[in-house]
Amino acid sequence: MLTMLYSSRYPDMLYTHFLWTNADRECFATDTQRARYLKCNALINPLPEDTPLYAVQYIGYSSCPTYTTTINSLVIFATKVITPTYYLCTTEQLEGILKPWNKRWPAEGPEPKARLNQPPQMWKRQAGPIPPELLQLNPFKVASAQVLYQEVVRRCVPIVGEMAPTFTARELREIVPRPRQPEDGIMLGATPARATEEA
Amino acid sequence: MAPKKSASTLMLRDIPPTTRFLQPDATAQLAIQISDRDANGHVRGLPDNETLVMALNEIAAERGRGFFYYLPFREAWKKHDGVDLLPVSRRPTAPGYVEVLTSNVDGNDRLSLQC
Repeated sequence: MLTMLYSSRYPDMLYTHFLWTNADRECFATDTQRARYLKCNALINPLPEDTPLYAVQYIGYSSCPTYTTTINSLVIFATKVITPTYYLCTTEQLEGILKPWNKRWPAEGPEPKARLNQPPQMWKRQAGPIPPELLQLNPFKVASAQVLYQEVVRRCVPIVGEMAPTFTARELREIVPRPRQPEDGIMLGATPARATEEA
Repeated sequence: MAPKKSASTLMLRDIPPTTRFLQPDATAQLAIQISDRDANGHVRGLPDNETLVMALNEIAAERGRGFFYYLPFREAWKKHDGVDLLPVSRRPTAPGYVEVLTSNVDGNDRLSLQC
């Protein structure tokens, strides 16, 4: 049995254009931190099937692969080198800036053709002049999470926004890796032994 | 490999709801270290994408617009619990890997991963 799970389509974060009611906001304010944490998990809370989703790749360390996507999507770099900053850019912008892979050391891992090269010295600054690719990324610097929120929300508005939705919640369900043979499960409160006795 | 976040003593369930994940700048935002207990009782440090999503949703709740979700890091899919907790047949594959099922001599299913 062969199944291919697309690596380039798998995001680290998702954005949904959700409008909060006053009840939602009150609920959020009274929730414990752990309740909020579980509500933010995309695997625990699958969305209605036709919900448009905006995929965001979060690149937090040097070996984390960055992928191009067929539909333009957002990429966040979080680097702690010298002064910690975020960079918010799109895959199309990155394609224009980053150099192709060296022929002697091509991209590795799943889906190597869709992998983008790393910005040089993003994770480790060396002596000498700053590489041009890193200078070109300067306009995409974001100083705080507050600005990051404003930028993502401004771009990801359905129909009128700059960004198109990457996929729907139905497609996300296919992308997420799952067990090959899911088991039927056991009714709550029943131990496996009891379940077989009753049957 | 992802640099493993050291498990800090600050647990997610001990933080009062009024405490904010949102920090004024990226330096403080990226320095957040909080741990949580998973379903098996193991302590794990929250990765940066999860703490960032928590901070972004605090702003979203204030402004009443947008909601962010996190998914497990790609690296997280490759680690598995022992066979006692997670039988081989129930293991999900990492994104981007082709799953090939082979039966060995004992008749036990064995999974091999290829790029």
